[in-house]
Amino acid sequence: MENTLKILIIEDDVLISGMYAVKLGKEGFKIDSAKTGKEAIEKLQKNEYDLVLLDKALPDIDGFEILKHIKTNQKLKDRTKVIVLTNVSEKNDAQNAMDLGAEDYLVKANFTPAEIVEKIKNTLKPKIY
Amino acid sequence: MGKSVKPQGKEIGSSGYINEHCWLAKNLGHSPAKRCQYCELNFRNCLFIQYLIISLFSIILVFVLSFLIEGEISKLAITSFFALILIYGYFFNRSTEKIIEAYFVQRRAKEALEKLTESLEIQVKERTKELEKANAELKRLDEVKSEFVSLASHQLRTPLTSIKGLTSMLLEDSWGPLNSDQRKYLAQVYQSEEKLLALIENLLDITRIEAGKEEFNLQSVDIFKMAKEMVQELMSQTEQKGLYLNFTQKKSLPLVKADPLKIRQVIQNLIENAIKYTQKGGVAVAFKKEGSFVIFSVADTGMGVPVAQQPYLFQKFQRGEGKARYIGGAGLGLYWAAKIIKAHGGEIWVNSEGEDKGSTFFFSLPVV
Repeated sequence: MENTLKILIIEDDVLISGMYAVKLGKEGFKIDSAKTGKEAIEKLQKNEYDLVLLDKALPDIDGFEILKHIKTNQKLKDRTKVIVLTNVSEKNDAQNAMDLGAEDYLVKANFTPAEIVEKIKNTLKPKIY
Repeated sequence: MGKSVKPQGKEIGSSGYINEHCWLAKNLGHSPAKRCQYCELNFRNCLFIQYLIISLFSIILVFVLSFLIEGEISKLAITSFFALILIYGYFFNRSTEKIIEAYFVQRRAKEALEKLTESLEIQVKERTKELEKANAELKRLDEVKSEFVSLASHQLRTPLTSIKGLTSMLLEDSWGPLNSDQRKYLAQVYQSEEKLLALIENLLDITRIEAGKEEFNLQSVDIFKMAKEMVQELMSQTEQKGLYLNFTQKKSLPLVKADPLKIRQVIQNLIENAIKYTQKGGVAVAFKKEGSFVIFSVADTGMGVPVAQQPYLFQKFQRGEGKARYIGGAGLGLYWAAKIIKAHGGEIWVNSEGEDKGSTFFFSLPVV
């Protein structure tokens, strides 16, 4: 059921984070959010999430470190899908994200929340149906 | 005579020779240049003294012999013999002096030349150093500029993300239905935001290409299909202005190697520009294959490009002169397009006979 799917939004910009939370909430997902890498890791240890929207440029840790944390953890690895979001796109970043096990790598400004919801639904398809 | 100055088996210009043969120079221990001056003086003095001694000796000899030898004719013969020796000696001395003088002139010239070469070399080295420094500074400034543009662009994207997201959510009636005016103006906000994003993307592309860090997603692209779709998309714009928009390609084309998103935007920019600068007539899009390149062209019947301005058209922040000046735009579009096409290994150019005579823009891309 869609209602039971939990998403963690890791994003330091409160406007963007709030906007995704509203949109995803309207779509029936359960939302949690973290503003820093430290907070995100704490939440990942405490709760289970089906998907993480991960901002690469966090104030304390590089987003890729969190991605590595998820994908090298036996408990989280398969359960938690990751979509990396960024506005600081460097050469090879997309490839690196994929190599580390992310489902997608998106430049935030190029997608509307509705388009991001589409991506999330595609990623979680096996769980939705 | 002249024996002491004639070098035997030694190069006359070598300083070893001077040092060995010029006792004055050797004993005074002056610098080579100063030594040489003494040397020259010494040579001249030597020659003169030699001549003087020989002359005195000859006169004494004539005097003595004239007492010893009898007979007027013999005396006359001896006197004339020595007189001849003296005359010969005088001329020999003069010519030797000239040779020595020539040698010293040559030597001085050589030394002056060496000095000049040395100082020139030092100057060149200094200037090169200065140039290298200036060059390094320019490179640093260029990097700072690139970093600044890159940072600024990323910083600009963050607020734009929420403007875009929230506007799109409002337009999707996320917070209740909008009335038609609200919808219309909100759509304009959205469009402006998209333009701003594209502009930022262009700026980033330019700085990436200039820094050699471009990120192209190169694929085999059906540029024909791409242009056809674009023409269909832009048809409404031309209809609104009462212009025609022709796409006259019938034959299929080979695929080109390109980043589809970037090339699509170049095609869009060029066709939109053509529409923007045309008030009467219309726009025609065409293709041809030339060698291992596919050439795209968009011809319009618009205001054209003055011939004098054509070489500058693809430069940064270049805006149309004359009538074109009054049409909006940041002047970045063609510069960006040129950068993108060149980074793909193609060329971009314009043909226009002048103002009000329309213009045709071309670009080429290598076939896969």
